[in-house]
Amino acid sequence: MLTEEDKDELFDAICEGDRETVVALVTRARDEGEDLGALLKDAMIPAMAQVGDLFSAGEIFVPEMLVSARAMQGGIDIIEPVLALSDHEPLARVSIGSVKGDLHDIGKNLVVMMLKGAGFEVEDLGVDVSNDAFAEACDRGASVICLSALLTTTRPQMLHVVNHLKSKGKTAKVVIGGAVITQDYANAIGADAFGEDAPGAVRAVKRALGLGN
Amino acid sequence: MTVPDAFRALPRHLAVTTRELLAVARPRIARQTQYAALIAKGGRRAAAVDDWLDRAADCMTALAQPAAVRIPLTARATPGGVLIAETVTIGDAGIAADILAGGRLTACLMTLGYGQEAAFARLGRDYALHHVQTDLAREALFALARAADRDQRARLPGSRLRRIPVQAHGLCGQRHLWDPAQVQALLSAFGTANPGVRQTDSGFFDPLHALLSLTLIRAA
Repeated sequence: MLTEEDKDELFDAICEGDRETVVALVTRARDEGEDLGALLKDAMIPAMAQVGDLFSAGEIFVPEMLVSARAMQGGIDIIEPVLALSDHEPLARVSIGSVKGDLHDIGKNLVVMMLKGAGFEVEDLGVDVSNDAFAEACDRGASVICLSALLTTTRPQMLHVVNHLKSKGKTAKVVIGGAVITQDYANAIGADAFGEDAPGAVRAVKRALGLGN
Repeated sequence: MTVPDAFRALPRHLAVTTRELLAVARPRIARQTQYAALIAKGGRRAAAVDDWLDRAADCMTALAQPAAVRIPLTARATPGGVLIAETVTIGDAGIAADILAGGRLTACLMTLGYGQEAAFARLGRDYALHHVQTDLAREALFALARAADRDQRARLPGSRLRRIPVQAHGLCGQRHLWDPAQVQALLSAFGTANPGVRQTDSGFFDPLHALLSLTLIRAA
């Protein structure tokens, strides 16, 4: 079993983007029958939360966050198949995409990584996603729909998605973000929350679901 | 050679290889604050990013087909500014005055010639690698634009050139300078010389890594 020192090492390895150590420790934990859900919750997710906080505070830049997220993903790749066979439940299922007409994926992809690192099950719908595709994601169990838009020309599409989901009777929360998005805009179109950056999107999803940070 | 003569003599296609673009883009990325800060820390993180840049460069080498196509445009002064290619009006009195004084306009369409989805697939749908690839591709595109500009300046030594940005992707909505309909009209002016760049209704170039620029050429 992993000792507290091992868990501290795992935490540090994620913060420092040391994927090899993360993979080695999580593999050992799996092989020794460790509660991987607890390991994820107690050591790994807090590590990525700290990385997100450092990014939001301007103490690290995107590439450093990427290195940590990828190290985290190395561990998740080992944990996920095990948890899939157990009764472990992710925090929630989130579907995310760039709205119809928007071909940018960079901001969306960062949010995908951070949401996975926070313990959410994430379905990436890609770019140029139709209103119907977002509605269908709700039918597949998404409790949160995240919308991304980069340009002022695609921003209005977010309102169309919100209205479309309402017209279809979907109750999933809607979280929006992107270079041209503000809290005022989120309020104006009736979105449930706004994320100012990738870690902010994680906080926004949690707010929308009434989960504590 | 007069401006009109030199203008007519400009070659249409600029030959630049992916290798040449990466030779410029890779060190520029490493000097960007966000990457430089990480590389300066050394250790595994710096090694990881170095490896990602290598893999991103390999991906681009496999996929990219960079192209830069330059065409002359008709331009005439109107009461409101300048009418370009008989379809696009720029409300700029300064450009109108230069056109009246014999200035000429060229348009240059540049693309790396591959789509984001193809790159994402080639990189094993690895989000982090894909992000670095996108940063590197953006730098490569800017390198292509600078190469095209240098080439044009070198061929017109007796002229003054002014670049007029049309649309620069990745600069976010606040700097989306042109109406998509105007951009589409300019793209149409390339006809069969267009190296495969189209624009979506919402103003995105497809492939994403593409640029369109105008240059005003005046006598020195």
